[in-house]
Amino acid sequence: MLNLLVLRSKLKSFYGKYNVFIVPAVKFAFVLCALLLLNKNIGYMKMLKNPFVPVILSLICSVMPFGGICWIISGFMLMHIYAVSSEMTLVMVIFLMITALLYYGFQPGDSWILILTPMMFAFKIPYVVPVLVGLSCGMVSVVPVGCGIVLYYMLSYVKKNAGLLTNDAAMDITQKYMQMINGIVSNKTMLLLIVAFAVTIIVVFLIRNLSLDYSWIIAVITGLVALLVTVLAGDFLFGISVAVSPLLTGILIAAAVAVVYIFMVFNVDYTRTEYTQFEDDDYYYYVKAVPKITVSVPERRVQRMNRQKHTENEGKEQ
Amino acid sequence: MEWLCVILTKYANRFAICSGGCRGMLNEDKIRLMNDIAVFEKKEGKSARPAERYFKNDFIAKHMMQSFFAFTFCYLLVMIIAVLYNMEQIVSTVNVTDVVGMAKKTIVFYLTGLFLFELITWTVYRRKYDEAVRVRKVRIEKLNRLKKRYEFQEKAKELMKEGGRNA
Repeated sequence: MLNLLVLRSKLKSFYGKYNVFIVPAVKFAFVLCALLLLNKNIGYMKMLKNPFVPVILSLICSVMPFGGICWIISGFMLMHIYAVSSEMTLVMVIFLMITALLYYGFQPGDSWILILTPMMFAFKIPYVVPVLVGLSCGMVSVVPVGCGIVLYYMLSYVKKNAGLLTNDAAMDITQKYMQMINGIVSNKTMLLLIVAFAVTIIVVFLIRNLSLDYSWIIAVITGLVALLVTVLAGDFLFGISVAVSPLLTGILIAAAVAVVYIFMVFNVDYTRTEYTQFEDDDYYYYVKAVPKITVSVPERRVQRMNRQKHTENEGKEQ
Repeated sequence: MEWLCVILTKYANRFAICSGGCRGMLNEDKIRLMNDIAVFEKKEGKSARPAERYFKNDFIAKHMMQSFFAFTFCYLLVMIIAVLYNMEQIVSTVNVTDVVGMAKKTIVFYLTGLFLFELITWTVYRRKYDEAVRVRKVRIEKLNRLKKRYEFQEKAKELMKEGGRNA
């Protein structure tokens, strides 16, 4: 445990020292990962599949705020989809514009969640998202997570039905639109996951803010149980089948990631909790003070043996 | 308020090292205070801007106006999708009363949605303005503390000088 705490404080001091380089590097890796995933799954435009394009775009994005990054990734995605279907591109543009205008006007700092959610789905660990968002953001973040889920299912619809959507397919435009919108809106798994993720985020957020001992751990466990119950309820009540083994594995991975996050961000010692009470002219204060666990990084002492001097002295003696 | 912060910081930078009792020594107390103000400025300075630039009602009205245009534009986009989706049904509807009924429905949905969205905007930006006022208050308190520190030092200097002359 002590070693882990030392590692944590080393990482903290390392970040403090080199955050000027670490933040752009993380952004670079994040954007590169997103663009490569897009290329792998819906890479229909040959020009963008050239490996230099994602690398150059990631380099540009590494010095940009997340709002700008979101627009660049959206543009990249729309160009790929345009190569398959202009109708689907129109639907996507409208969806993204509505999200941007109606939500990001209020909460512009949340745009990374919109990118992260489909990425986690692609990595088969989507259940990490609601837990981390519940621990680190507010309840309003339900909206970008929901939009991220819709975006993922739209992209997977394009991937599965690329043949039907191609521009030269002999189909009436109105029929195309009907088919596309029905295919996206009537996806019950998507709707179930939006509800389940929203429930998890709200549960985790509410419990972690309670003045309970081990509230963050309790929040994670309760949130994951709520997620499991919602998904299973959807299965039993509405017949929406979700594969059980990936669900359980995903939940276990989410729990593990949450534990690491809590260790790094909210590491406190509840055994040394102190309660105090005082007053001023206007209020009585009942304060609960929980100390943080901190360890100082052990300093290495290097003792230098001055050999040269020693040999010189020996020479003199001789 | 920014001008006061800039002046105080410049003033502080010039005198923090050479003032404070003995010449040539760093005044840690003052440096800590200035650093505290600078960090606060960096972290929360942005959220205090509405309180510095607008009156509360102007700020909320401005954002409600923006929300009106944003919602109207989004509603038009949704209508495009809805028309494309129901194209066959619309084309086959020849009855004028049906068309009027659809138009009425559209307007009712628009007005209801707009009302709800404006309500959300009003709530959110009212809170944002209140938060900005709180941040501004904290900053002014910090600046006042720094100002008092300087006044105290100036007085101490003057007294020292007077003491020296009398001696």
